[in-house]
Amino acid sequence: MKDYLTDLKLKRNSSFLKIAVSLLLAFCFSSIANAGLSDKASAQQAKVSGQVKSADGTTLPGVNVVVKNSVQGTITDTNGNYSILNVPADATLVFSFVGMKPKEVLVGNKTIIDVVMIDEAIGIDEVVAIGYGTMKKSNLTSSISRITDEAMKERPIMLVGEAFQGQLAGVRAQSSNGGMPGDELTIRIRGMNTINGDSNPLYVIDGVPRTDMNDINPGDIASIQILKDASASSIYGARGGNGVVLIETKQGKGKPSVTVDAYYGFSQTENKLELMNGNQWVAWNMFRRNISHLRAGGSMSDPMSSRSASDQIPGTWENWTPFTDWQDAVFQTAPIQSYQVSASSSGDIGSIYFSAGYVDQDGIVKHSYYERKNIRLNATMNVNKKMKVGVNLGGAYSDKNGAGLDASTGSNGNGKEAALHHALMVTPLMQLNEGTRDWGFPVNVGSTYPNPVEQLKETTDNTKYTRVATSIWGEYEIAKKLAFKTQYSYNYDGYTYEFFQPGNVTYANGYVTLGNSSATTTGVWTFQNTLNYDKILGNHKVSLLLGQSMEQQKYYRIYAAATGWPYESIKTLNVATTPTSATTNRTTYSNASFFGRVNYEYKDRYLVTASIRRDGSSRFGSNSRWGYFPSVSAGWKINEEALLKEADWISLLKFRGAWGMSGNDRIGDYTYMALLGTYNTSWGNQVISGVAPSRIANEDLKWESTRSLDFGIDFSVLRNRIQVNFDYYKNKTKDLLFSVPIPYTTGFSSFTNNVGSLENKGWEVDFTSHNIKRKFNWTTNLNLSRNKNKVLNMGDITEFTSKSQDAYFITKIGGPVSQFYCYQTDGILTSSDFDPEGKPLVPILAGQEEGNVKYVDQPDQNGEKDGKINSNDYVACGNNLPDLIYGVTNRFSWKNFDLSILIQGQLGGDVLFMGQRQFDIGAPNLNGLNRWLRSYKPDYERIYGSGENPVPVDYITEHEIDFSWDGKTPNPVGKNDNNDDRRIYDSGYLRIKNITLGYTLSKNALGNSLVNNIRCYVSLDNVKTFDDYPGYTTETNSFGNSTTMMGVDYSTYPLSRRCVFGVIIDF
Amino acid sequence: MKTYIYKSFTLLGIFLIWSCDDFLTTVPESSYSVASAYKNQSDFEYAIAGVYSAQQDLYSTNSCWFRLIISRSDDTRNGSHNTYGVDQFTDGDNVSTLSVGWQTLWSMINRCNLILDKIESVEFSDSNLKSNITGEAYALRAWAYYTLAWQFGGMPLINKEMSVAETKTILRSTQEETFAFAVADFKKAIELLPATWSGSDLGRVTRYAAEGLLARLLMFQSKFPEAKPYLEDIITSGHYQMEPNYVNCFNDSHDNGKERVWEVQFTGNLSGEGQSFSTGMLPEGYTDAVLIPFPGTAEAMYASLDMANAYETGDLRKDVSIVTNIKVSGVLQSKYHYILKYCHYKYVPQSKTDWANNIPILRYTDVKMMYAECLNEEAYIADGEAFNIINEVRSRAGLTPLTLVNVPNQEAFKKALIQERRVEFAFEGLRWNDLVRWGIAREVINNHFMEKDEGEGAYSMDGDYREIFAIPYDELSRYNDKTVMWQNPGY
Repeated sequence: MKDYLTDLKLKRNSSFLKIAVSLLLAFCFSSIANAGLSDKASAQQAKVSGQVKSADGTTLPGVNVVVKNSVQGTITDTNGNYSILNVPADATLVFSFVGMKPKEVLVGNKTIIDVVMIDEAIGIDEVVAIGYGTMKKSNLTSSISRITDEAMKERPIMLVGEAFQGQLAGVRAQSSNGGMPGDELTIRIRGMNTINGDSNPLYVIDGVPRTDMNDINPGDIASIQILKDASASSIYGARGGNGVVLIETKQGKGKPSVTVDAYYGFSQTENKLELMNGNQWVAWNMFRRNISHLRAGGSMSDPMSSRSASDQIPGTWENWTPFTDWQDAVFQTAPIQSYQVSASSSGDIGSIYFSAGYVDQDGIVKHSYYERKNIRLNATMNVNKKMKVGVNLGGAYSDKNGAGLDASTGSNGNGKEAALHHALMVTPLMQLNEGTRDWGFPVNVGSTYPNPVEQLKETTDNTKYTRVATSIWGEYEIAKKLAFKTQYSYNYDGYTYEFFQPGNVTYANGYVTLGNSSATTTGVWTFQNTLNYDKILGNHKVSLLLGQSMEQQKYYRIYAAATGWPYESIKTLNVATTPTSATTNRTTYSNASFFGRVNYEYKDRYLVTASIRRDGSSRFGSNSRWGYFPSVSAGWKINEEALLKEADWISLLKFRGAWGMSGNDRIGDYTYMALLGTYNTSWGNQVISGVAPSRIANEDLKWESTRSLDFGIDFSVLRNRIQVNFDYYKNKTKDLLFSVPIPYTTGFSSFTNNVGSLENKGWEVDFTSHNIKRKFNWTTNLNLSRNKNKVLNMGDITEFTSKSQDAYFITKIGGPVSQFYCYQTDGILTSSDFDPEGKPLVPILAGQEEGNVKYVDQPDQNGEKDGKINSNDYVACGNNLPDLIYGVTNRFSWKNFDLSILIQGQLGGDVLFMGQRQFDIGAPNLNGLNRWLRSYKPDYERIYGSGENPVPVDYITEHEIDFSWDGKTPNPVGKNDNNDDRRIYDSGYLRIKNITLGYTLSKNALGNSLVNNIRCYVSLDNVKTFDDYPGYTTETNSFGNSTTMMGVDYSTYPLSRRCVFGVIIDF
Repeated sequence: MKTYIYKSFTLLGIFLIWSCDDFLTTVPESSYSVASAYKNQSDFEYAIAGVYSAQQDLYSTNSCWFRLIISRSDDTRNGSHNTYGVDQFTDGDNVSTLSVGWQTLWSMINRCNLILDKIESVEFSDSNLKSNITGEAYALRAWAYYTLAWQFGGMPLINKEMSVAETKTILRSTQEETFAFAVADFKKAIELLPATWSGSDLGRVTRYAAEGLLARLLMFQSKFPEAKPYLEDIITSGHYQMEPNYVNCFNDSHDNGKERVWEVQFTGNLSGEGQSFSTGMLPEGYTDAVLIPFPGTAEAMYASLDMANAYETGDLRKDVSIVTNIKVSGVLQSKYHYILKYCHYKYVPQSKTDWANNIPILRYTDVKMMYAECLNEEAYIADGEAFNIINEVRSRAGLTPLTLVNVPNQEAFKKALIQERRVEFAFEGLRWNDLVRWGIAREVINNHFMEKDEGEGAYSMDGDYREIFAIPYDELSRYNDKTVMWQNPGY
């Protein structure tokens, strides 16, 4: 073991293959040690054979037959027969088969042992983690969901969050930046329990609290459990308010085995936007220039040279060739590959699991990619009967390039300056070798955007993470059923970011080459101690937990930026001409907690759990640093009552109710203190340091706390063949950590305080049915959940708005957080809305004319309309939170084939298509959506006189371009506001998320080989999406995960359609 | 068994004791806290610089408050970018730039209050500096209140550090009361401020700057006799003279020169203290390196045709202030006049935000012109001192002097002054203030809007209520109490 560790350490930096080889070597070593320790000498040995059948008499092939506590074993053949040599007389044979109850038979002097295996009732004794302990699933009294390892094993999952999609009621997993490679999904449990705070759940990975689950190898995960209601999450107190995700990694199990898991595939963009093609662009711009000339008082009969320069139509346009399709130019068919090796074993000495993994995904947008290497070792050792020690070590290295598209790094202004956005707007006239400082721009088009392909190629937007998670623990049984556990862990996350954009492709910035780089390190140590005590006294069963934990996080960041590079071949800042910024920053965060829990069960049918946690956090003022988080829950298994005991068909009928409180402390460090900001100025042509308070102190600042009430029914019938879980919940979050807007006359704009309350209520249904369970198996899982979010109170204010670019949001009492806030439209202004002199007869925006979008003049509080269109007419227009989310998984298996189909989607919810403000306005010169060809066109001859028609009739006839009005697209000339409800779309969708077809070859079929099992599969992701959205995807949050500005699509990275071929081999 | 339990709880108890409150008291390692500041002389030097820093923000970018004030007048063509209808008089309560300006002015007031509250009890090694800084805090607070009051009307008078709750109880005063408060502050400042600063203190407010601003405030209320002695004091001090060459009133080569009584300070060298206001004057795609080292911005502001035509033939100030017929993205633009006044430079900016040019708040020429106006209000004296002043300004511009023939009476002289101020101080943010105080805003603006390139009457100043802006909606909603912070009538 020790050698292995040194070995591992030495090889850490070497290539993936070497690691794999060393893992294999180490594996051999450990299995020998294991076997040596566990084999028991025996005098009498014999051959044992027999046949295995199921209860209905059919023979069972592929049943594992193992001599207990040894590596000796075999598998039944196609007729269910087996035979094992040299079986000791005192040995026990263990028969196991998926879906059947394992059976143990003492050999004694028998030489023929026939066995009948019976169906296992499904999941009846499943044990789930509940935080600092485990519990029988059937005895749970709070709402906890589990992602089965089936869901993770059967299809290739690159990021852990993918395993959440469509799997669990009440859990929404959505990408915040479309298909950007390597971006972990955003997880929301039962809506949003906060306004200004962070709504991410707490992640607890192998017992250690963490803020995210990024870069974990999904292949290493044994189980994921989600504590949804506060009675379950309150054991994590101040950090459980948005739910808790418990992730356990794999521990060594059973016979020594090695698994190799590899897949390879391709991805492509799901869809393209309907932009103007080259001829359409030319036709449109001829039209725009003609109309501009007419509006300037000219005539169509004027010679071209007499027009003002910007209205002239170059003669070259007529027969221009070739055109560039910039969407095709930036997208690519991209390869994906993943390789994993793991080894696992357990025995008397303990258990060991270790693995190495490598994934490499090229993005569907050129020059974006994600690459990750993972390594893990989980080991336990039984020191003696009372003491057990263990270690969990996980290392990850990831490398991601967003090619200037990455919204999370913010280097391109929330997508505004991203190449993908530019690709939708640069003219098709521009050639692939145009559009940079060196190459120049197409003549007389006036494009201000650089060549998107070059921009992608030249831009560095690179994020690298090095993550090391270490944890060492020991368990000691002080007395019978009284166990003490201590765990010390240290997690290190090292992040480096590099951005570089040569002046060549940053035309808008004045050709200035820009670069910045930052590095952060976050080190967290956690020390946790718990005592567990179990006691059964007749019908009474009591479990007690008492614990304590401490945690400290140290954060460090260094950032530097520069401009101007003499040569752009070197991209680091040291060779830059002018450094522009250099800062470092450090923060410390600590928390300390005490907690306890009591479970009491009477006759295994009356169940009560109560817990309390006391938490202290450095993020709060000295007046309110500590808080209490209690919970209580109860359950009643009616099926155990005499009344229903006879009803064999009911396996479980349980009512449960729970109340609990948990909190959220996710506001930055030191927020309660008044800090001095540096506000420099200039005197006498020199920089002068200045200071001023950057915020107001609040020594009373404390947690926001979520109180949740949950009622549930768990119901299983027909030996658990049909299982239903239903939950109704109501969460009320009080003392919201709210950056309260305060009058500017105070000198500040906001003040972080505990103000107001918020409600989330809803219901969830989880339904699993084993429809057919024989040679042909069919299982269906369906989950549905609805959540309604409502702001109840915000202290002194009733609403507040937030704004970014043209997008406004409003959060007000009675509505959900973050509603879109804009003009309501009412078709378009027709000629009847103007008098013969052209004066408007209805309220319009300044500069509007016939054919422009008509805006609704909203009544004020007194019900009166002011006859003007201005920001008083903004109304709340939907929000990003869905009404209903659902997922349906159907799994089929027949002989060696397995097939699973996952469909998921949502109803309701809206998304703001922000990018439209630039490519959906019918602008001249830029490219845009082709619907503008069919925009409203007033009667030009009536306005400008006979023969004065700006539509280039000859050109559109020749190229068969339709210029007739489509009945909805407005007149692009005049004024159409950007902040109106035309940009807001229903984000409901139904997606065939995944189809996986697999084929498994067992050892028997493979003959006498080393291999136990081979599974080959083909898996398709994002097969088809049904929605009404004209953009790439509604899975977006271009303004980051800010709670108050949700659901904006500003050049979101498209989702990719993937096709992957994989193989899993068990040795 | 019991002893085991006892032991294990003792064990756990030991861990519990470890987690004490000290562990949870973390101190900021990368920021200063307010509690530890305002304790000695240098703390106050930093604190007063923090006030100037806020003032600088009002002038530093292509979407700053100052730009908006320029666009309100007839100096600029309506329909320029980043003006939110302020230039077209369609503005309501949601002009974000005004909201930001409002916010910045209040943070200046807050920072001054903090200094004034705490400086008294702190021992300075340099007692002059203590009174100077006190004077600066009064002067900057006065300037902020004056600026708020002439643009938004009466303000709540917050004269010390207050809690959020207390601030919310202070009602808006009248514009008169706010001006009176500012006047009192200016007067205190004049007593405490030095006559000059030097070296790396250049640009801080001086006694004469305070006097000049006080005079401007008093003249806004038509209190000419009260304003006059302050202007006289500046003129007789001998510290200032008019720049012989008009362009040097703006070129950074003459920053803090004799002409400049008070100006907002900027530094180049990519120090982060440069401005991008100048960049915002010229259009994107304009790359004539002789005039400007960078292509400008998509939000360039245009001079009005009216403004361009206001210059008399041969006025040297025109070409300093305006540029026409420039190529944008290779296309000759004859349609628009651009503002060149802030783009005369010696230091070549290294980026769009690296202009070193200071932006004038008060030029000596303005001091003299205000003085001339006071004299004329007192009495028309043919060929008197007022004539001398206006002619000195005209002769620098290469124009012929005015005589009693073309300016025969008090009213004619005022007209001449109005015309001269317009061309002399074009785009300096004074025109709108002048139009309002002369009571001719509505007439001038509506005439301006009747011009062909201004929309021929598509826009209008629909009432005198527009002499002040709407209180930002943002602020009203933050108070959410119309008895304390109410909207200006008309909006």
